[in-house]
Amino acid sequence: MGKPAIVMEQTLKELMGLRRLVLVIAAGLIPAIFFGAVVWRESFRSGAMSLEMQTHTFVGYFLIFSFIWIAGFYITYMIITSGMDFVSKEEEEGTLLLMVSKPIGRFQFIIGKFLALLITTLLIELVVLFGSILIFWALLGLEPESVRALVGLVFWIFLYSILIVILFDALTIAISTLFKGKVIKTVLTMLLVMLVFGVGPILRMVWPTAYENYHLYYIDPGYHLGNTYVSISEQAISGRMTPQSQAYLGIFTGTYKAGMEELVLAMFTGSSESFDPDIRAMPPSLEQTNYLNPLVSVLLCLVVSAAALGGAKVAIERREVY
Amino acid sequence: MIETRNLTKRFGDFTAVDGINLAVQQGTIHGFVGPNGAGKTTTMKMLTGAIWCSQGEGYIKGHEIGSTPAKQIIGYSPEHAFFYNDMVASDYLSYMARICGVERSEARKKALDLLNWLDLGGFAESKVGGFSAGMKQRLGLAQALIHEPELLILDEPTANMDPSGRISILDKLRELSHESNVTIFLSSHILSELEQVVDFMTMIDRGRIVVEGNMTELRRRFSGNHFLLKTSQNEKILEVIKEKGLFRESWTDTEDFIHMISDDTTALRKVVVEVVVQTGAELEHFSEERASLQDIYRKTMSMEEEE
Repeated sequence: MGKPAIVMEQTLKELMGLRRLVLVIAAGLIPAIFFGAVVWRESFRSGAMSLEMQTHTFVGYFLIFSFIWIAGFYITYMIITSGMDFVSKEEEEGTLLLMVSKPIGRFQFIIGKFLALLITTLLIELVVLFGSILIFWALLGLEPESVRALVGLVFWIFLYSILIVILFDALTIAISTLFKGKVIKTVLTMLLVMLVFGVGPILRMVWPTAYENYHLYYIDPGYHLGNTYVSISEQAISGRMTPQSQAYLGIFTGTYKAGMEELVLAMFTGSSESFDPDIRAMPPSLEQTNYLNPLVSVLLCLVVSAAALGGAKVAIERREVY
Repeated sequence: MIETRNLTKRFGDFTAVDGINLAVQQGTIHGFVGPNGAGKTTTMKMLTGAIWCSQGEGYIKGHEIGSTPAKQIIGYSPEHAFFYNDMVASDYLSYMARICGVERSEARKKALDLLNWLDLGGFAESKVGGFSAGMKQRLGLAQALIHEPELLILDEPTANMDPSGRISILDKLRELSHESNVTIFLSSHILSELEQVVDFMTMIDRGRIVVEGNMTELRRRFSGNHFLLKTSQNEKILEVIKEKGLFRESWTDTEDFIHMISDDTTALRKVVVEVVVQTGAELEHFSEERASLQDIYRKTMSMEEEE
């Protein structure tokens, strides 16, 4: 067994403590309970829409819910809170001194921690994905066909999650290795989340022409994640997005041509009044922006992750431990 | 086992370790002594790879310091060891063992054996966070020993321990050295205890080595050619030796021992024997006074201050 695997196993034990698991999973399921019990309750009242309509509408909702919450803020928050202190805490508490005197490469130690966080996050995410489906099923009384459609999405959402977990895991480990101060780490983390989820929408709203003309999507992490998500979710049989979801995703990530107008239209008029000729139930689909091939976005995310890990490697190997 | 050449560590303008050349022989217990801030801990941390040297080089059994092969040879216990407080002692040691390459099946057995050997067997399943300072010191030694290293680097291994704990640890170190041929490089401020175990000693002050050598030589060197003599005819014998001009200073203490400081020790030894035989006096005691580690330390440090 390799030495990173030993560190990974130990870190997994720490991260998989029962109390922590219960709390983290419960936190992940709260939005599902809120949306199921309050926000979407009216829309899915029995008999309010056809089965086909129900399935497609809920698939759309679930795709957005998963992108923004489960594979978005929740997963990143979980990674940041768990991984931010991985290295700096060891140094602050003095345990790193003994670790660096042991015959294990410093980067191997980091990789062990990285893998443990990756595995834990993905496992918890899987539980929250299935748990959310169960909660929606129970609270909204979804038909089995709709539930099957949601279950069919899980694999693809999970696949996308691997990318976002790798990215944030690497960035978090890098911040934990490069910086010691709690304040600077918190500020950096907030900036990172802002950069990924906030900069794109603001840029597109404030300066829509520049976003396209100056190819700003290259440096918009939100676009790359959205581009990947759309491409991956389209692989699912049930993964077709409703125009509403496309509008939300367009606003958030720039993957669909959507401004505020489209969002308002989709939100307030797009449920049962209009029909898409393709599926005979929805308003017309929004046009994809297709700025970049999704593979380029995946590659860029992986390159950033590798660069972050590279930075962590250089930092930990040059670090003097007292 | 340890060899350094011009090993230097600078922190900005301050030179903590100033070009030291260490040579620690295999199988020996080598003391590393000096006042606070002399550079002992910094040197040890450079040897274990926790910090990097600013200049010079160092090798552990031929492997560059800080490299994984070098660290495989070392077991290191810092003065203030910090552990994962939520782990129980046996789990902690098993984890450390596996990090050092010990198989999972062996690791737990080794952990329990070591805890028993260090009188911590009753606390194997206790959380480390609840350990006293002395127990943590023992655990620190246990984690250093867990992979049966050839070289132990111990920074103040008996600090925070009560006298019986200190004696027990020193006994164990002696046992390790004699029975397992483990090389031990250790620092301590308790010189009287250190003296009982060390074969070699390096004294360091302001980052520089001021004295080094094996203990027998050092004791002789620092004894100042000081001889003790007691016979049945002290006065007569002292008179004869005085006539031959073989000592520069002498006095008799309250227990009737003649103290002589001589510059020609070989001649003095010879003359004492001859005079005792000639006078027919009864020889009760004749020895060369041995300097203690404390004497050596005191003399060296005062010479350093004078310089």
